[in-house]
Amino acid sequence: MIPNVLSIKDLSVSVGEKEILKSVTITVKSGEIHALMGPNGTGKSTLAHTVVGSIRYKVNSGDLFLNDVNLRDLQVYERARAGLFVAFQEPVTVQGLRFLNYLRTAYSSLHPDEKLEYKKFVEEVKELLAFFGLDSSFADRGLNEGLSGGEKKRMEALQMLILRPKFIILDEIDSGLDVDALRVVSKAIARAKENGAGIIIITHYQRILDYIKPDFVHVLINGRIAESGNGDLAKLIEERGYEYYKGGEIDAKIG
Amino acid sequence: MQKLDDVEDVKKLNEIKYDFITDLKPVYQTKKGLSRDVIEEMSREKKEPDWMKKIRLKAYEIFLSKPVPTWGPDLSELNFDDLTYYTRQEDRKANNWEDVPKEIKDTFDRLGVPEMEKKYLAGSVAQLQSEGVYSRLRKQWEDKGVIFMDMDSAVQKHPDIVREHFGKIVPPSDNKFAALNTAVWSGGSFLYVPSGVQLDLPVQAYFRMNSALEGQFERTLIIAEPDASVHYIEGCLPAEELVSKGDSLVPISSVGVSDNVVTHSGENSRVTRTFERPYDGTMMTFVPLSKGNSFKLTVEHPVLAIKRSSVSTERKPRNGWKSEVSTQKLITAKPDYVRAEQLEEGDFIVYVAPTESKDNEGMTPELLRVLGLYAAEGSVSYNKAIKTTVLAFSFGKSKKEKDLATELYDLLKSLGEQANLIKTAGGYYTVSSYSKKLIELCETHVGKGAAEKKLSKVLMELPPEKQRILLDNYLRGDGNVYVKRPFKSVMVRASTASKMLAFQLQEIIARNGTFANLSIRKGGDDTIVGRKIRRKDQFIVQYTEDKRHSQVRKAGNNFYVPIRKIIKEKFKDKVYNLEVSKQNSYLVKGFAVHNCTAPTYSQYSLHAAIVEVYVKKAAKVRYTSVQNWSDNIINGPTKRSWVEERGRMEWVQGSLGSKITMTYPSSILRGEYASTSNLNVALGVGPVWKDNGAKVVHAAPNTTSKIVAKSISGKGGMAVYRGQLRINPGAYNSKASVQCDALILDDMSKSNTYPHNEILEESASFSHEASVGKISEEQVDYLMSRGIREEDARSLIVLGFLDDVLKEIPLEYSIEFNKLVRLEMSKYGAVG
Repeated sequence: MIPNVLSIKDLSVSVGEKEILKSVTITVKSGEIHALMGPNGTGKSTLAHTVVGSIRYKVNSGDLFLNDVNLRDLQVYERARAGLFVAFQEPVTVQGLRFLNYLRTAYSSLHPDEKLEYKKFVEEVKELLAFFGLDSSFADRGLNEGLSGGEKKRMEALQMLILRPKFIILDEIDSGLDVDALRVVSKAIARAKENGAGIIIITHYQRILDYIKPDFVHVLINGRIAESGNGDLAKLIEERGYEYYKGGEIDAKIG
Repeated sequence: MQKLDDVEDVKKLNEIKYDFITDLKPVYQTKKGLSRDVIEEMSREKKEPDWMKKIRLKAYEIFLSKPVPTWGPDLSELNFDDLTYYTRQEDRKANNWEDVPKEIKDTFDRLGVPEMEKKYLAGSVAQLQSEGVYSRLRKQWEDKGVIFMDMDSAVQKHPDIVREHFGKIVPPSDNKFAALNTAVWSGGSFLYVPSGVQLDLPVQAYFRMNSALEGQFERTLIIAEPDASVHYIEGCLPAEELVSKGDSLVPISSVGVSDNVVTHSGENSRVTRTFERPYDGTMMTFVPLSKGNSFKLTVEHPVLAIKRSSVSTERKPRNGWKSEVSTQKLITAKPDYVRAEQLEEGDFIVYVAPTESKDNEGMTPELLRVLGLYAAEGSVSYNKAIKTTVLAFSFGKSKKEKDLATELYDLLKSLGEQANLIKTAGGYYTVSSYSKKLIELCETHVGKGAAEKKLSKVLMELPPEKQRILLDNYLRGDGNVYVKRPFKSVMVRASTASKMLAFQLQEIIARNGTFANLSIRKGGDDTIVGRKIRRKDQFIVQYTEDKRHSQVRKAGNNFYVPIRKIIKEKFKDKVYNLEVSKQNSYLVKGFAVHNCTAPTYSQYSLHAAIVEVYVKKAAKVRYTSVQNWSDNIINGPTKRSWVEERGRMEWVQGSLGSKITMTYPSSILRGEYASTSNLNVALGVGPVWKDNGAKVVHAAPNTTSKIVAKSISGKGGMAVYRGQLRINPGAYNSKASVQCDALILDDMSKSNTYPHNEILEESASFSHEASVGKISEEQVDYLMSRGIREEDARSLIVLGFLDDVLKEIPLEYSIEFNKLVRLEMSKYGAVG
């Protein structure tokens, strides 16, 4: 089977007048896990929002392809239908929009050719809620209504599994998670990888990478990829800190 | 009084009607307007006892003495003398659907009434126009002494109970509408539940108003004796009603309320409502002489036209087609609206050149020359090599093209803009510029991409003589002009890949006095200089300056264009229509058609019901009403209950339709531990005013009340919460809470809250919460990032907002709500 490829190429993005991302290139194939690391305010979330297609992020140049589909031509919902999923750092709350109802609508939108068996679907959601250590009543609650930060993150991870996307970007999924939650979310990421998804884990810390080993690591400094390498790079970063990249930018190395 | 059996009169009466009612013949109707005579006549006709007639006449005196309320929405458009107060549909009432006359039964069938009765209800009453036409109660409840019938029958059959309770909770002196209702009431329902009887299924009343200019004044009286309980549902019409009063065609689906459209006179007028409905029938395609202007219409849609037969002459047809017409007759004929199905090939339809214009000083002749050339030859692209956006005009190789390129180059320089003139390797001439200002000008006013080019509103509104400059320069680029022999007429022909631009050019040419033909050359594979290319559809605009021999005639700003061909085909999909203020027409591909409604549309019908509910000791009544009146109705019911000791009254209200709604169900908590709740949802989308709320009086100790009101306003709609809460001195330990939330969909719409709270008892507790919000773009983005379309995302957010009230509404009505919210949200296309 030909693997799916998400290709972010020479991407430059600005928000308002300010250029945040400068010529960023990352290529992700099915089954790969990439970690995008970097200090705060360096443009990691901007990458997630740009790939989603949020209109506040203006692409100045560069390409964004999912296989041969140019995502730049697509609206937000069409990108999702092309197979893209982003777990957000700060998921929104929608009062009164019951989670199950929302999730079913999303699923049918993403998989229009499948006949959704509602009963089975509900069972699957309940099973996953249990897997993530979440109360089964969350299924009938308004979307993220009254949930803690950590619970919201787990709900994002749950959606990632049930919606079966081709590519997943996890924007600081690890922030606000305790050790147990971190472990279960990591398991979920491993499961998504087994299902053939290509994954970008955006993180500030090395912590989550103790649970899930990335195939590639990219360091984002001031909107540029300062270094790319294999999984071991994460350890190196942990040792020398982002301080190391200050001053000069290092040419990207292929790991 | 008039007996209406004359066929013509009945027809007239039925001219104003909604589309699925056919031939409902009233057997009796009072004349328009109100007087003592009309009331006496009505009472006599109903064979009422004397006491009821006296109540009516007294109320009439009070009605005359009361002013029209001025504190809420503007009711000045309501004319009490224009209304017909009493219309009877049938001589006898049925208690079995089989006995209901077919036409009436069909009406209720379409509302799903008999079906629902079988499944979910203990009983039902159905009312059409002023009177009940059907009532039925299951035998098990009848045996227990429950009475459920239409109010008129109750006066006859149970005069004692009625007389004891009628008009006590809502006396005619309460307000002008209450006085009016008491004077002319007809229909409604009467529900009596004896002590200790608890109905486990709801009973339901259905109301339907057919004709415009009619008042509907039903009267409902509910009595729940001690320890009784019942759920009463009042329902009016599914969503179909709101959107079905017209017909039209697909391309208008994107038009929104308060957009301006051009009408048959060429002037602009505001769209006051848009309609959408499924259509399963014949669709007609009109192919005028100008084929590119072909358009589709449903068979009944009126089109502005002149029949060829009315302007033809004796002369022999010259081109073997249709009979010749007299130009003199044609240009002096007055076009009239003709139903699409009555039009034939050869008849003339009316192409209208818009007349309104707005000059823009900034649009100088020089800029118009640039824009004209840009529309024809220009493009904007990003040059990677030099990392710059470039504006380029591509010309050919000839001397003429070289001259044009040079002229443009000089023009750009004279405007103080950067410019380059380049002869390319192939010998073609190109003029380019890096000027951000020029690029922005071209993109803003003409767009980019050959197939997407479109002139801006500013350009389309310019005076015709200025547009002429744009046009002439466009033609220098993309057009070719040649002289046709033998008449030496000048023929002009231009082609573009942009459909929109082609229509715009046609409009500009029309504004300059000439009708241009529009045709399409289908794209496909082609070869240019040995290279295989795929050619896009080309739209060709063509006209002859000397138009003596054209079959099109000009009259003022109208062009009468013959219909070349009419194609009829089966069609099953959504169709759309608009309501346009004042002129009642709009243009389809430049041709005038009538808008959706009869001219009488601006006149209103009045629905002013009274509901009185007695909740006796420890009894429980839930009253659910969902109204989806059509939007020519002013809805002002007065609903009130008296709640005795430990009694409970629950009001659930959903307000979907109507032009103006003023509803404030009230509960007077008269006995200790009495309680009430009031859940209220109002949808105010479009040119409507929803004035909803609640009134509670705590008149005894330990009483409890809860009010939850949710409103949505959009497309210029107004949603008001108006509430009155009073806790009397001595109503110890009473508890009250009020929550009102408003969601406003756009900047045109409004929401207000007027909560009046009088808490006169110190030991009482009271809480009040209010919120006004908008749909956040983050929420929409989030849902879209899960594959959900924008309009669906917005619907989900709105339905979520309504959820805590919707879940209290019976399923079939919440489905209706769901559908309507989706329909309204689908009209919010682009990012809001």
